[in-house]
Formats: sequence, C-alpha cells, structure tokens
Amino acid sequence: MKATRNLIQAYRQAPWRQQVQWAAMILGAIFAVALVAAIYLNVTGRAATIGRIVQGLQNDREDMEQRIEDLQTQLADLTSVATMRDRAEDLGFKPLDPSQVTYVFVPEYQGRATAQLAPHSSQLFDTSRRLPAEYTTSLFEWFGGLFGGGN
Amino acid sequence: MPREHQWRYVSAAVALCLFGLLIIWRTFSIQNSPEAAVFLNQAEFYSRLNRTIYPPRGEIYDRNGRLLAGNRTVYEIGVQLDEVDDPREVAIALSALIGVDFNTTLQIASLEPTEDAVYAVLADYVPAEKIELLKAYDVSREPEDMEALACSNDPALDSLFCYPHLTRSYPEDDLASTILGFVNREGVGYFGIEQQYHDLLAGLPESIWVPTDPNRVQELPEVPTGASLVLTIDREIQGEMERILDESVERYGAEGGSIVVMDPATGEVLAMASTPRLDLNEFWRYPEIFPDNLPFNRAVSETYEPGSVFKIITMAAALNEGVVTPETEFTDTGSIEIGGIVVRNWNAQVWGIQDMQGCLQHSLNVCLVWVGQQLKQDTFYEYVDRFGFGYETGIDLAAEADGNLILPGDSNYYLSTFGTNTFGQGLAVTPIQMVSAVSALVNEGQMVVPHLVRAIVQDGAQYNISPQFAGAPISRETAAQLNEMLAVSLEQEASLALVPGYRVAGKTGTAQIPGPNGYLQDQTNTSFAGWGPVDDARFVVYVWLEKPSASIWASDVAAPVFAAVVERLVVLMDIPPDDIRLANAGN
Repeated sequence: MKATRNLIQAYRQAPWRQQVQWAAMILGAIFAVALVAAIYLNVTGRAATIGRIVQGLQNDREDMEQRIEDLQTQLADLTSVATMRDRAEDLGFKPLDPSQVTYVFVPEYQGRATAQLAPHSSQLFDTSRRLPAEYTTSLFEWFGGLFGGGN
Repeated sequence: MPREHQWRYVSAAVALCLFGLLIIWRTFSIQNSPEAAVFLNQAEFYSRLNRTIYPPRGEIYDRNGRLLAGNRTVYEIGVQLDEVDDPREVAIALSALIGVDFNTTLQIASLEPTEDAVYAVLADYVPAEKIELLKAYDVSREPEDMEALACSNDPALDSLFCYPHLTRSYPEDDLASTILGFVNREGVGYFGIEQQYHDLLAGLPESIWVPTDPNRVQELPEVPTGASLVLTIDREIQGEMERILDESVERYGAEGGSIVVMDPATGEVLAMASTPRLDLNEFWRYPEIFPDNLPFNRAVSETYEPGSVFKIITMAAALNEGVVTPETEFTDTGSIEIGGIVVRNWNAQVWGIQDMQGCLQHSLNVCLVWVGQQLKQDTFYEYVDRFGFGYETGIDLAAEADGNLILPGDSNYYLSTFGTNTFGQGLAVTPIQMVSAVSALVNEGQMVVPHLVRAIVQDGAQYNISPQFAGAPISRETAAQLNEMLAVSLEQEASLALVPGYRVAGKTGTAQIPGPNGYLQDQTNTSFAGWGPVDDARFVVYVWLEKPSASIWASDVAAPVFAAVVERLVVLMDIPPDDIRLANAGN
C-alpha cells in the first residue's frame, strides 16, 4: 500500500508546475483572443478606410460628371453661332456670296456627315457580325457543314 | 503559497469575479433599457441617408453635333443656423456679392435653430462665377483649408455651405428657341422639343439608401441618364434663317413671320425660324415676350389664311384628276359668281384667254374658282384631306395646330366657301402644313412627315429615326407637271424669287386677313412656298411675313426673302449652280 502511494507521488507533478501550466493556458487563451481581436480590428479598420475611399471616389465621380457637363456647355458657349460670327467679322471675314464659290468635283465625296454621337444601335447589339464563326456555329451546323458539303 | 494567506487570494478572486459579473450585468441591462431603444433608433437613423439621384437631363444637339441644350453647374447657398456668429456679416456678404436681398437674408440668417430646422436656403441657382467671388471674399486663409462644401474663406462665413447641382443651359441663347422650348426651375419642359420629349430627356430619378457606415459602403446604382437628342436642325442654317427673318420683318415693316426649310426627300426640318424669340436662359421673360397667348412657334402653332399659295393644291388636284391639263384654256372675264358671291382677280382686271400655266403665273382667282368647279366640290375636299389639311402633320413638336376648315355638311358651310377655298381664302393652315403638302410636288407625289429629331442617343447607342411618308396625294406625273409649271411661272414672271445660277420653283400667296367685320383693308399675310433645284430638289422653303407695311403683295415682300434664303442655303448646303452640278452629274 505504501509502495503504491509512493508510485503515485512519484508520477504526480509538483504543484508549482501545475500553476505554471494553468497560467500558461490562460495567457495562451488571452493571447489567442487578443490576436483574433487585433486581426478583426485590422481588417475592419482597413475595410472602413477603403469604404471611405469608395465614398470619396463616388463623390469624385459625381463631381467629374458635373464638371464634364459644365465644360461641354462652356465649350458650346465659346463656339456658339453668335460668338463665331462676331469673331469672324472681327477677323475681317464676310458671308460668302454664291458667285464667289469655286466648286471642285471630288469623286466619292458624300458631303458632310451628320453627327454620330454613339455607335449605331445595330452595331452595338448585333454581335454576330463581329464574332468569328467558331463562336456562333452550333454543333449540328458544324456537322452539317462537314458532311453536307456546305461552303 | 502559505496556507494562512490563501483566503486573501480567494477573496480577491471572488471580488474580481463579482466585479466582472457586475460589468456584464450592467452592460446587459443598458443594452436592454428603454433608453437603449432610443439610441438604437438614432443609430439606425444616422446609419444611412436617403438620396434621390436625379440623372442629368439629356442634351440636345444639332445635326452636326453642336450642343443646343446642355447642363451647367449652379449652387444652392445655405446657412447652418447653429453656426452663425454674425447674421449681419452673412447678409452683407451675400447681398454685395450674390445680389440677394439684404433684409431677407438677414432675417433668415437670424433664425433660431430648432430641433427640426438647423439649415436654411439663402439662394439657389447661383452661377459658379459668383461662388468664386464668395470664396475669394477673404484671402487670409488658404483655399485648401476649406471644407469641400464651404462657401467662403472668410471665417465669418463659416456657416455658409454651397451645394452644386445641374441646371439647364442653352449656349445659343435665343437661337432655335422656338424649336427647343425651355425647362423651368422644377425641371419641367415647356414648349417645343423640351416638352415633346420631356420624359425621354429627363430620365427617371431614383431614390436610394446610402449607408454612412463605411463598412457597409456599396456601389451606388447606375441611374440611367436622360436620352440625348440629335435634331435635324443645322445650327448654321438656323442662324442664317433667323437673321434673314429678323432683317426682313424690319425691312418690310411686318408684325412677325416665319421661315421653314425642309429636306423634301426625308422630311428633316433644317431650319424653322419664327418671331418673336426668347433667350432660353431667361425663360421667366416668357409672358413679357409672348403676351396675349401669342404662339411660341408660329410655324406650327399659328394658323392663317394662306391665300394664293394654296392654288398649288387646287391645281394639283385638278391635274391629277385630269379635269385640266397645263394647256387647258380658260377665258378670264375678270369675275366669276359662286354661291351668291362674285370673285374677282387680285387686281380686279380681265386677263382674257389663259392656259393653266398663265392662271398660276398671274395667280388668277377667277381661273382657280373655275378649275375648282371643274373638279367638283367633293373631289376638291377629298384632295384637301389627302394633302393633310385639317390634321396635324405629326411633327414632333408640342402644341401643333391642326388648322381650320369649314367642310360641306358643317352648319356654317356655303357654296361660296368652296369658291374662296380654291384660292386659299376662308380656310386656315399652319406653315408646316403647307411645307408638308408641297413636299409631294418635289418628292414624286409622296408627302413626307416633317420631323425634328434625327436620332436618339440612349444607353450608349444611337437610334436613327427613319423618314416617314404621309401618303401620295398625287401621281408622280402630276407632281412633275406642276413642278415644271411653277418653275416656268417664276421665270416668265421674272419673279424676285429667282436666284442666278439655280432653277427654282414656287408660288406667292397674298392673303386677306379676316377681321370682326369682314376682311381687313390694306393688311395682308404674304407667303412664298418654293423649292430648288427643280430637277433634284434639296430644300423646300416656306416664307410667311405677317402684315407687312412696305407692300401688301407677296411678290414684293415674300419672294425676295425666298431668294435671300436660297442664296444662303446653296452656300451652306454645298449646292453648286445647276450648270456645274449637271455637268458633273455623269461623273
């Protein structure tokens, strides 16, 4: 019986060791929580910073859109009919009389083109013309072409 | 650890645990207190903002891409009431630099802020130049120090904030104003294109919640901007037509007038000048410039008795029905009786034997009544209907009038009405109706629908609008026949409408004006409908001068205006003289 107790005592850790282990475990847990908190704060802080930048960019975009509208109108002001007419007169130009015009025949000349402010709707939506046949031919059509002698 | 001290540590641990539990309990109780709900609501309220995004109004361009209506930035100036140190300083600065009323500004800036009202608007639609003045009001601070929305460098004006927004702007001022119409401060389009295409131009405002929490920032939705329009108008031609019209109205002492230029092949209106005109950037002057419900655009909204220019229609109908040919002879006795009234010629003279060419050339009322009689009343009105009189032409402009016809079966219709209608009296039309009708003569019998919008630009694509035809009231042969007759008429008459180097065709119209007690004495409406070059018409021109005082005759007043118009048109449209053009036609 005494021998058995001595054996248990021999395998039991010293109390100070147990205290150190507990302290280490608690410190480890605290460290883990602190680490997670730090990562969370870091990520949240970065997300918030980027969010602010996005908000700023959205505001910048609105400002720029307004600025573009403004500049377009300013340009139109500066090149308006009345302004250009006055400038031409100041520079000594006069309206042309039909008898003063010299006409030169230019083959294929179609005259002044009218405004094309954006791609024509047919160009924009009809993608089939721009895509090669490999992208638009179905498997059946391909087989048909192979065995049907199509062009 | 000495066993006798162990209780101290246990006590400290228990105390700290209790303290920790106390903190948790307190946190929990605060979180669930009635006050917490208030704070949560406040947090929710401030966590996002409701913003209505107004898409910029679509632009309007001429056919060559020149901007006719755009947008520019203006500012709303507001005051943060709880930040005002000296209301007098605010009022002095704004009245001196912006031009607002001192007393009103002082009154607003002196308001006590309340829970619901901490901000008040002092001025709106302030142009950027004035904001620059305000910013430079005090140079003691660097502009970089200022907040983005701050109005001024001056510390005394720290309570002022400037919010930019867009407003409609018309770079050409009054050019093409009667076509464009205008947009008021509430963003509503009035008259012309702005009214007709308001829904398309304005786009759809979208209301969205924008989170203030940067963690919740998300992409703002793309609010589609209003569609832009490309008009058929050529800015240079429009400017020249308005100049010619203004000069003609002054030279001939007319009360007003209108000039319309249209491409007869497509119905594209190249210019539509009308008097009076409004500087669209000062749209609030509309009641002053257009008193007594004066039409905004006479060319489409005002009806008048066209007079002899309408004889084209009568003759077209008669030729098409085969009741006369250009060689058909008529003996003019100077008067003709119809429905109990006696119709005489414009100079009350007898013209003797005339063929149909002569009838048109000398504009003989008696002859045209006879032609109408040959045509019969029902057939005549069938052609009036076919040419679109009594209906809107369908031009894409707001407030188009449909004219005024008295037709058989109406209570106030008499046979004499038929007689006067054959030479363009007793009925009322708009200039654009006449332009649309005569387009059939130069377009192989096909009548086009006049239009002003050439293309719509939306979502990055341009949708071009195809020409539309409004039927074929006469045959190709009749059109060619009448075309030639009207060209020869001008040449034989040595009309003031002729333009050296170019063969043109057309017809004058001198019309009496109905008053409360019959037709007015010594006052007429003078018109000219013409086109050219005759073999390949590139333009139809309609000139109308109202009540000219220099002469009552269209041949003296409207015909030379037509010539002046054509002289400018051939240069601006690059149309060479006939000999050069025909010599190169083979090439």
